[in-house]
Amino acid sequence: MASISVESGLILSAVLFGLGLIGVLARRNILFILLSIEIMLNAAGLAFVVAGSAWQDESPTVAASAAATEPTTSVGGYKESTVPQADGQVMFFFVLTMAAAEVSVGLALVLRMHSQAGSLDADALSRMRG
Amino acid sequence: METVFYISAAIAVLSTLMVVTRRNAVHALLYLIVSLLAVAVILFVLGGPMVAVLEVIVYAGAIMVLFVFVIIVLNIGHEAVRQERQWLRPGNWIGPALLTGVLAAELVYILAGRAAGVASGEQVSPAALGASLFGPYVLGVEMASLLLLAALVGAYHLGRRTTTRQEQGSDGIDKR
Amino acid sequence: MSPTAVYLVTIFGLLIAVFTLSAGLIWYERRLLALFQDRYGPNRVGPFGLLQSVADIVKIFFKEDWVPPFADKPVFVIAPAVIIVATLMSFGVVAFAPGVMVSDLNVGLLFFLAMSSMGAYGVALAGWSSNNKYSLLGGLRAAAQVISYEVFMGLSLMGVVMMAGSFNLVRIVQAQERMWFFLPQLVGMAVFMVAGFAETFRIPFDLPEAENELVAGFHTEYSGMKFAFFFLGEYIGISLVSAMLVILFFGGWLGPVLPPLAWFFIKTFIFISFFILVRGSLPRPRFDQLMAYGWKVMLPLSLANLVVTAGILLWRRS
Repeated sequence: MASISVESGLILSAVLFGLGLIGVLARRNILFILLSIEIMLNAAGLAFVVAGSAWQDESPTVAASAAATEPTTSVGGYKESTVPQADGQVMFFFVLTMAAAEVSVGLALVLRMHSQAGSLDADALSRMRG
Repeated sequence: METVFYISAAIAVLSTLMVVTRRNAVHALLYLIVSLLAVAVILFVLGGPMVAVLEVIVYAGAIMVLFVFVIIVLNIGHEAVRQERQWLRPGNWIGPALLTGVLAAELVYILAGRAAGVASGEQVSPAALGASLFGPYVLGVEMASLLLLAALVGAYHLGRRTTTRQEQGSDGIDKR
Repeated sequence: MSPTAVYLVTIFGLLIAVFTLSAGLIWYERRLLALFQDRYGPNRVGPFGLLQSVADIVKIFFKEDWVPPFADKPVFVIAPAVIIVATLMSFGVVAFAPGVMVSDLNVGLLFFLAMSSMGAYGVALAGWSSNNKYSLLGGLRAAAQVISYEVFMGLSLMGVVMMAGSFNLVRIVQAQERMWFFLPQLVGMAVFMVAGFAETFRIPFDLPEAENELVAGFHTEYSGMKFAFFFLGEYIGISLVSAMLVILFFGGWLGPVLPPLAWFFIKTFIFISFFILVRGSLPRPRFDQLMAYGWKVMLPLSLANLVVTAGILLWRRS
């Protein structure tokens, strides 16, 4: 199968994360800021998967010992020691969930902001009014 | 498989660059979708068919449709593009790009030396992922569900009424 | 033949079959609707009007390819292509018969769901880029409808996945050798079918293009080949949902005497006809009724189906 060095995978996610960061810092439109945050979250998830994919390969002994110490994981005919570790992908799953939660609240706020401030400018809400 | 990785990595970086620099929100969104699809291909190559498909379903298919929905509701067209042109002066990019560039250079420097090793690309089956989720990570799953519930309640509360500016004082704030 | 050649032949055969079938479906639908409504339908071009679709295609090729000056041009052009590409991609994982499929993906079912969610962009973006009030409303409705009904579509299929123990479509068909899944998963099938109507924007749920309120909804500004793409995309979508119904709930290629491929097409054809029959008989609800129906009826139903299926499976195993 594929043999991609961990470096290139991690560097890719670092670059994507950096681009997202630039977006958050440079844009004023709140929609674009939200989009850039999505890019950053996605890059973090990618880094998790890359790291998980590399880690499982190096240490089959760790996987075996994990199976020995955690008997709960071997339910349903699933054998821990022979199957690649899924930890990185589990973390990606959580990142995904978080992104969904973040976006639903964030977009609700955007709609609210548009109706109250009449603009999508992130600086439009800088004044406090009672 | 390596070439697939590098091609989709290039696509992901290029389209992400376009997302950050576009003036039109819908165009940026389309580029972001392309970027997400490219990342999905990378995930597939790295041995996560399940997470790759989830990336398409949840990220590209649900979250981005939500963005499209909001953009259509706000109905921002030429007006917004003109405003973006006003906000987005070339000078705005220098500071963030410089800072992030330094940060990225540091990251690359650290990663280039230490993180030796090869991503195996061995496939993690959906069953294995599920067993992991509901085995050692069951607490995380429960917390994720709580988070989603909180987001549901929060989004409902925020989007429940679009109070106009006149009504705001009498109704909007006190009842919260 | 080498594996690559077989692969290419499968892909091109599939493409040609899907396109001709969808073009033929247009004629079939018009004839069948005419039959239901006691009229003739297209019967002039060729025997029984069979060549009507060919005539339509020729006509549409010679139409002016017009892009409105007020439209957002790149998005306006991409939108119809998105629909066609997304639905055709899904056909890549459809298991027609043992060995007759493009890709035996181990997450095939999820891939289908992913691609059907991609199809939503075509409609929503077409509505947005047309820069026209009716189109915009159509796109808005499409986005809301797809987001909602995707949820139930995914949930309704999880019962099948639990019973088969796999996301792989071949494995799902093989798991139905003793009993087709539509019996134990009757609720799941009903929800999936309703969601399928919603995802393909067929008549009870064709609110994005409701012609008596929104002119033609999201494709008001489209003409020529771009309009033909939307039209064809709808029929490819119908074929796809019917094929998935057959695979997931009605045993795919399984059946006595006849060869597997024949069984698959017979079953798929029955469901396509059902889609058309529904178009001929059901009225269109209001949009708020559609949403309320989805979230208040479909969601609880599919969740209950999920819980009951899981409970029974666990009880049987212990």
